[in-house]
Amino acid sequence: MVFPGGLRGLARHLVKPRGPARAGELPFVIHPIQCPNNLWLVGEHLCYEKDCGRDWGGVARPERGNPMLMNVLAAVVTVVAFGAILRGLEVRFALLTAGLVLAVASGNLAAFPEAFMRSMTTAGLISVILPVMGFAAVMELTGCDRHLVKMVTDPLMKMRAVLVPGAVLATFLINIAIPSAAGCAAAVGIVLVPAMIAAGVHPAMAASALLAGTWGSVFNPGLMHNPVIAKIANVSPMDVIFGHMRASIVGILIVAVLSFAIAKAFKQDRGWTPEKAGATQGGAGKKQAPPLERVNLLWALIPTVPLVLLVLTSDRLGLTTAWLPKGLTVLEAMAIGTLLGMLITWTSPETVTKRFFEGMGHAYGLVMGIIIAAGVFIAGLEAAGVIKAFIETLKATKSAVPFIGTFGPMLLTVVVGSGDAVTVAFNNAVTPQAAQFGMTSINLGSLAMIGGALGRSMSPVAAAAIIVAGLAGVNPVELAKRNAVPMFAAAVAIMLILGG
Amino acid sequence: MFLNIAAAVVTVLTFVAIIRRVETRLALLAGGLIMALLSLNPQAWSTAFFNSMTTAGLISVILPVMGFAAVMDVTGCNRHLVKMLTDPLLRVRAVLVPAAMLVTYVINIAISSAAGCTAAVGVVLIPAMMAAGIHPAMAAAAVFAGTWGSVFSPGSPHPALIAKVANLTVVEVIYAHAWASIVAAILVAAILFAEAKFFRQDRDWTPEKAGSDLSKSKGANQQPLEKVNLVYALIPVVPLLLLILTFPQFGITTKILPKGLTVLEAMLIGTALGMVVTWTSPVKVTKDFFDGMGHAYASVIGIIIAAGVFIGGLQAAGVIAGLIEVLKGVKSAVPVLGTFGPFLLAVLSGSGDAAALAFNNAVTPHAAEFGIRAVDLGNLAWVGGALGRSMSPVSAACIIAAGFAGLSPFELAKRNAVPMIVAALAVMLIL
Repeated sequence: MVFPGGLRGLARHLVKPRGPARAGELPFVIHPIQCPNNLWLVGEHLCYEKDCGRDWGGVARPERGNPMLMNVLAAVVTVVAFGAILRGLEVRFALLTAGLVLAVASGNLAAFPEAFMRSMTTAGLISVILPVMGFAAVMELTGCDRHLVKMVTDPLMKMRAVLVPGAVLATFLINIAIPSAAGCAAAVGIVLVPAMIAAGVHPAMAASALLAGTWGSVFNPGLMHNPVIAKIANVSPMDVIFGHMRASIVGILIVAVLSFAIAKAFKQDRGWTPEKAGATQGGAGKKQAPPLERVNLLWALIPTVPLVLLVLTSDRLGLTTAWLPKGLTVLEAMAIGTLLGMLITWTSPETVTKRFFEGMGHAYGLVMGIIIAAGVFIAGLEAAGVIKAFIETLKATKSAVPFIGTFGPMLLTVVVGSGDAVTVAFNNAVTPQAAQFGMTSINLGSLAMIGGALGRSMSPVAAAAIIVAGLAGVNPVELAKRNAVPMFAAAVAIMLILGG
Repeated sequence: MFLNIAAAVVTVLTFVAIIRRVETRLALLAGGLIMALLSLNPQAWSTAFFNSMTTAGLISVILPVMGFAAVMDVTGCNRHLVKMLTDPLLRVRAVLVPAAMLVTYVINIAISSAAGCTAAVGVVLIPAMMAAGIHPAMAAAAVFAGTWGSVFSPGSPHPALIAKVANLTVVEVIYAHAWASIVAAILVAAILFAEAKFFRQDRDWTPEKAGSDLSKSKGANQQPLEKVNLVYALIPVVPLLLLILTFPQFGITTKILPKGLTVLEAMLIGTALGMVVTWTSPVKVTKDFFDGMGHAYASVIGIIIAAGVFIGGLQAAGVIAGLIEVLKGVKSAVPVLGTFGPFLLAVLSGSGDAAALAFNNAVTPHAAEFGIRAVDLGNLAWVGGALGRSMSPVSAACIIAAGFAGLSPFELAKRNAVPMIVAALAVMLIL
């Protein structure tokens, strides 16, 4: 730990009130935090990359303008932008414009290209999303996905009553093994979303069900928040997980039941076609292929090969740790799957290569495009100082700590798409004082972690939402609409169990 | 020893496959995979893939340039630029051949795809030159000879890679070879002029007399522009101008922009300007910009990934270190190898990209050990490959230009061979 006194010392440093800047001092404070996973939190900038020591915003900028005015402006711009997206405006354009307006208004124009550059080169996202989408394009080319869809949908039609909650729970379980929400959404999504759509589920409902399951990572001891909380509470990460296990299981069951109810109540679970739902088959570009006579089992299994490989080689299972200590990467799993698919369907390697790269390029333009736009938008909010103000408010309000600990990270994550920054900030700043509010630090830390994760599962700008929405060919906001009620209900339940 | 021989065989097979027109990315990926498997280190393959596909320096430069290029194409600004530069040209017919080459060269800086530039310029210039009595093959050869102006474009994969290796900015890399490339371009123009005069190819020819078959060439399927809109015509060069003007070494803007504009910033400004000036729907521009970026990821970054994987295979086999040792023994031959290796491959395969990228990945980082600067060695491979492409009968640009002239691409290659070889020698000697 670079910071003197470790996390506790750091937390004291962050909470300690500071006087006004003296002459010759910088009129702002630098908050360097090194997380256990080697993530850097500097000001409100959280870098997920291994080269995260990069100086792309290591210095919090002086606040400009009237903070109150900026908060109001940011709220107005956010509402207008999301309203425009709801009304069908091109998502990338709306977010880019909102980010630009906020950056200009806060007198920090450079925040725009900075965020653009940072988002467009985020190795963690590129190396997961693009290979998955390249593999998906190859699966479509070889027709393997049609075999899988037929194989899955034929029996599912018989037990299709519980298809939606089944998908929520399956994604939740897989997310424990593949803790990246975006990576899990992409890997599961290419199998499950087309299959559910083929079974007559509304495309947006199918994607929502997947997104609703992408907070299973709270059970993964490698998720950075678990070790952060463990360190504060001076226990092992597994103790933290056991501490919130009951609440999280109740939470996911509530989500599954409510998703089921929403699908039933709004008649979203049968009789839909992508055309009827107005879905544009984004990356897939589905052609009208003749229906399959019968399923070739081998072909049908190919699309699931990368997923199975990822789960089997996961270092949590310990099956392959002897010779693959860290398990396969998503890229490796997808490359193996592509190669297998090419051999089994005996497709020309030239065509496969071209399609793989085309799929990657298409995903870059579309999925990374939205991620870039979302990054620019968030940078606009940061430049306006709103996120910082929000965190400060959190820290200052003590009486309603469990409530704020849950819904603070949750609401912010809905807008921002990632709860990690605010959860880390909250856990470092407030959770060590949990005893003063009559709570254990494990419970308070878990609340912030789960609140943020639940918020991500209903955020239209989360990478996971963008990916599954792309697979279903619908607007991410459609997903957010459907997941809002289940996520809030789960958050309330978890708050009552852990905070009571 | 076994690995060395295997690596040599795989390398030869890979490049033979590229020359035989196997998809470049496939050949390089397969070559890299075989070598990684032979050296019992399959993860070298995926590691190289991962590293190449996420290299921030390449992504953040190449993709915005290509996104901007897509917007320029859609808004029609490119066509105005071409017309603005070609119109005055046709009035000075004595020097029409070299001037056509130089104009294509300049336009190729803004429209950096050789094939795209040939199509845009050729459709205007080649018929006009033929109408002025120039031999169709000479007209097409002149345009084709200018298609290495892209060595001044920051959107090519090469300057980004060289910049990474030499730890410079992209603009500094281009600046480092600017003089050599300008001299070489003038040489090419002069030799073409001499050829045209000497073989009497510059007047009194008609397509029939030259035996050209114009039935196959399709006319321009877009309406000719009535007149040039000067503002439209200038938009495609705005980002380039901004990059040059804010270049820190010129010191014009160091007070407000100490590090100059980034390529991304220049392209975003250019795109916004183009959108406002042509009054195109911002939604459409946004879509085209991201489509252009995605397309560039698949094609340009795709080939970089494949070359990186191939080199990853060579490294896993341990031959790179051996190769560097051998090259250290023959220091003087390194520039020759660096220039004419990609040059030859480009002549044979129609693109020097694979060879130049492979060379710059593997050898250029060790340039200092051969007594040459990394930026110079990298530029040699880059410019060498580009020059080779400008005399390759199988390059896409050559086939397009030959199509406008209704002749065999070999007629163009024949005429461009001497100027290109001379230019390559000149560049090598200067750098």
